Amino acid sequence: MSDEKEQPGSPAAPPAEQSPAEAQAKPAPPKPPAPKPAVPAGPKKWESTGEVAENGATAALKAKFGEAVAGVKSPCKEAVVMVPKAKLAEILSFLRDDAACSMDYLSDLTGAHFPVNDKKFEVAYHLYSLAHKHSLRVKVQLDDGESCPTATAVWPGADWMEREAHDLLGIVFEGHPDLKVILLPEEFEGHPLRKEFPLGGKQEEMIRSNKYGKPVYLPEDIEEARKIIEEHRHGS
Amino acid sequence: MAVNEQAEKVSPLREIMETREIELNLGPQHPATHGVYRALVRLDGERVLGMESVIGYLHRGIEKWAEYRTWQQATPIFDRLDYVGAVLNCHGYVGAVEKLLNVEVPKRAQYIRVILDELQRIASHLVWLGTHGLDIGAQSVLFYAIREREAIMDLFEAMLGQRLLPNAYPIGGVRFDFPKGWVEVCRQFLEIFPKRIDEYEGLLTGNRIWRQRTIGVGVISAKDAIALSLSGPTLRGSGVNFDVRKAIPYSSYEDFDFEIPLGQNGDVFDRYLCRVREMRQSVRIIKQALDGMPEGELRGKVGKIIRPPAGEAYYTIEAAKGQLGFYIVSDGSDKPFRVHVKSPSFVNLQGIETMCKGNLIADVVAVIGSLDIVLGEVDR
Amino acid sequence: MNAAARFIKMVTFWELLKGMAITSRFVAKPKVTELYPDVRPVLPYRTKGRLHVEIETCISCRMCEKACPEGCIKVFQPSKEVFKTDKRPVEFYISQEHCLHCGMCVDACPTGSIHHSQEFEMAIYNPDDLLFDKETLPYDLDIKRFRWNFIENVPVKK
Repeated sequence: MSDEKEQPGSPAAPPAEQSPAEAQAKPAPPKPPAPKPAVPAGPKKWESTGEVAENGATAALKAKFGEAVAGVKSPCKEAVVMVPKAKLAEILSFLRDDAACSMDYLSDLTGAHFPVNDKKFEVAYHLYSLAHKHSLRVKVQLDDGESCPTATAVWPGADWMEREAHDLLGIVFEGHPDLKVILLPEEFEGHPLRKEFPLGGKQEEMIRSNKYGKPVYLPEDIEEARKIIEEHRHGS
Repeated sequence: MAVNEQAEKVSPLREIMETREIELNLGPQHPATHGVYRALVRLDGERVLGMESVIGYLHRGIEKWAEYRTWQQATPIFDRLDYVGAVLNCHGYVGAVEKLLNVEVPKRAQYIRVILDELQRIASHLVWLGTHGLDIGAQSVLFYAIREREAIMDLFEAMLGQRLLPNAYPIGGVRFDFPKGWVEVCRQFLEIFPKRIDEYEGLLTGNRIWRQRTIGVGVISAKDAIALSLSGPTLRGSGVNFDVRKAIPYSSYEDFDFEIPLGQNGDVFDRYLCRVREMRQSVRIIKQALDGMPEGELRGKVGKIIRPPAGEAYYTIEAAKGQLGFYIVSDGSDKPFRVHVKSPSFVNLQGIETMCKGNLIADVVAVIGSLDIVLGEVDR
Repeated sequence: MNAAARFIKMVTFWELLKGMAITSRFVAKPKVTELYPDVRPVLPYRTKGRLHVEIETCISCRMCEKACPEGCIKVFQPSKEVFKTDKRPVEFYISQEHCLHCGMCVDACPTGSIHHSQEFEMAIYNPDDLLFDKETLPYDLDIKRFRWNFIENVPVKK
């Protein structure tokens, strides 16, 4: 898994190879950069591992759309395809209507935020065919601020799921009939499931509420911890 | 539209008197909404013209919370999704992680999971039956339903240590084997329980008040139900044969012989019958599982620190409310990168507008009851 | 015939009578409810009550602290010199206020020092009393009923 990822990160390696003469002359300084290349190449891009799985639906999709539909690796042998955003609406309605696919049941629709990837958002459609009993995950990648075509025209059940993804991840679904908040309060700012949104708590340390309900964190130092606990016992 | 025609028909005074639509606010603190659910109902007289759901009062950010815990630490919080069917939620999450890890759960653990899941399904349906009856006006069912649920809760307490939120399964298997004497008590319960279901049915199924309040109310066609992604008894009440236990078998469900009860009309009464018959099928499954219980290990080979390979998995189970799906994304670290819960209540609640349109305002309560929503799961 | 039977049932309110018969059957039956404060419940062996720590056997490995999803356990190890001979923790705090009673710490403990007790009545007037430390964590086994076998209704020998 890590082998595959280090290959794109190799551009950082050439500087160390360019100067073998210098490396011999000054053995100490060039050595530190040598183990680093994998790290300074930036945070690792998120990429799925495993094998590409096929089923009837992926075969029909590839026959119709050819190169536009790319199989995605999956560690647990699920059929996953990545489709371009421009063709998403067409592909989704094809998946529902085609006799070989007949994906009439939208099981789930959600998104995920990958801050390290080039395209920061992914929307995943989990489809299931009641007739053929096969399932397929269709994924589409979006940039920050890019909108995704809605699936409500294909499956009306996508309505609330898209509103939820819009609410929690800030993905805009173009053409959605009523894209407004669903889970969060209307005045809420930010999108909680984005990675930069803080949780507001640290789990490594003991949480103890003071009398105002605010959590109190215990430090590693035992004397300080005892002091805090004593304060709280006598304070309230 | 048919709805408006009906509305015209029921208000003949319209021609001489001026009428207007009113908007009624049902909830969020209403006993019949089973939690903090608010419905804005547009009414013409007593006829429902349209309806808008307002949810999110119980949003606790469970999906975000899980991202800050390790894979094991995140397990107990998913019990809090559907707090009357906690064991099933735990199974969904744990199964998703096992799928991503490619861990094989020992056969005995799978059977124990089936038994506990089905007991939990019965318990969840009993709470639904009691409260649904209470909503419509059949008060005594609640007492009988809670009595049997107590017996199941006692079984859970003896087996898992907790009654409501037991944190039932660790990743890779089950924690404990049955305690001494548990199987016998469980068998006694299974002997008695079908007779108890006869009691509930004696109180409700033939009752003319019950039938008048439920038959033909809240109808949703099979086509609409599939298009709206409904699942569970809400979908099967419309006659669609989709049960994850049969369609995508998990945890050895393919070993058991059981039927999937289906409705025909997709009204409140059919959904009621589906759930009641499902309880009988659950009893059948538990009996088979107890009889065919294999020997062997309880936990698969899972380390203390779990680092699933980078990738994603979608694992669905048939929870009491419908298809419960867990979409988990791993980045190869010991913490979940993203956990998304496809909660059946949330998706089923979408169908409420289609079901209520054209019905009377009093039937909205019956429809909400028949959907079997738990707001902890709707809002997450 | 069938229609006649249905008519008779309709006129005599048959199904309502049937329902009444079911409810009236329980009029003279003994009650199934527990009279809780007067009659104490017998709890099963595995009940997850308040956490109980045997400080004497604890080796302060902090596995419970790492396993806890709520972070309500905090263990302070002794200094390195002391740790060689005496592994018992210097301080052991459990905030029962945040405990989920999930049992993950019990799962993780290598020595079985931390486990659930049968105590379930944790309502108190001062929330600070829910913070348990080394002195308050273990409790008197003689006073509290401890480890009962649910099925046979006998105490379990340890």
